[in-house]
Amino acid sequence: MSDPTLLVLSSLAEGDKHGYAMMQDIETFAGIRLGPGTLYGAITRLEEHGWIRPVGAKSRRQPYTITPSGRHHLRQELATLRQIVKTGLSRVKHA
Amino acid sequence: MKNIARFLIRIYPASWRARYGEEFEALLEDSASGWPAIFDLLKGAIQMQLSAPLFPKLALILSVAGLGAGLAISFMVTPRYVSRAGMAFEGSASSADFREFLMQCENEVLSRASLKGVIQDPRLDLYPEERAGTPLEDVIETMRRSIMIRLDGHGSARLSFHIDFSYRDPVKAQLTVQALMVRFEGANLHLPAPVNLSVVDPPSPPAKAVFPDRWIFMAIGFGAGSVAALLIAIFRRPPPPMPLPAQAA
Repeated sequence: MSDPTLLVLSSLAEGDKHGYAMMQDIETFAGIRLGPGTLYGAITRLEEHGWIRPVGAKSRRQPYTITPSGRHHLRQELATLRQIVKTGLSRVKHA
Repeated sequence: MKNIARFLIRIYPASWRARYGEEFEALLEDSASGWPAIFDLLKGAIQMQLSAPLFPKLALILSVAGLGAGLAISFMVTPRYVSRAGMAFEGSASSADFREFLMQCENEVLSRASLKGVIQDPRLDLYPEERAGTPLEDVIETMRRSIMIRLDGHGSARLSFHIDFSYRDPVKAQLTVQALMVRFEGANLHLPAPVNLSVVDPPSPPAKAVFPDRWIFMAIGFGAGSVAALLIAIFRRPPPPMPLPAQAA
């Protein structure tokens, strides 16, 4: 799971964060260091889809929150991934 | 490195910078910088530019305009026609001797006196505009650069070569090659031991201009238009900042 948008959604599912906090959180739970361009590319796409939105007063370190539709999308994507992981593990086991 | 990263924010689309610029800059201040981050910034900027709504339209308009300008310019530049003739030394001489003959003849044919005679030949009257405004020495040099003498093949009994001349008038280009061949024959007679010099191919009548190649002009115009669109997208001044979307209570 290295899709930056899923990583960002997963990070925000735990709580609101600004860009650098997301970067650190993703590195902690996924072991992936997102570059600044990749992170903000994902933030831009997610905001366009309405899956995240800025919260609080406008600030240079702008926090973002996951929206209900973003949480729904994340659930769907994770369910698909779980199915892929389950199938893959079972096939590897029997190969 | 941080300065490079900050500079690279400028190549993101202006509308994107207006919305995310400040917080993106804050992220760059907080996070570690290095070459991976710089490449990531570049990659992100290119992706953003290509997905910006204005870019495809701008690129299309400027590229098509560039293509049209390239085509128009190709009609404005003076065309060049090339005539070519083939000749061969034949006889009982070594390959090295033939090469020496060719070099000696070439030096004589391309000499100042020889080319001056060709240029001022009333039948040819080459470079009239240039002669009116520039010294004859410069015109001779121009002509020398327009003549190409190349070896085609050589063996123990034969050495063949060709003569090219490019000029704006196709008829004069052909006549000039004819005149140069005559001078080659004259130069051959001045060799210490003249050999047989024959015409392999008579001067070709130039069917179409070798310059300008309209496709190349159009391709350059198209490319220049695309690059211009990219530069405009990069250096365009950002619009006034957009307000953040409405916050949930």
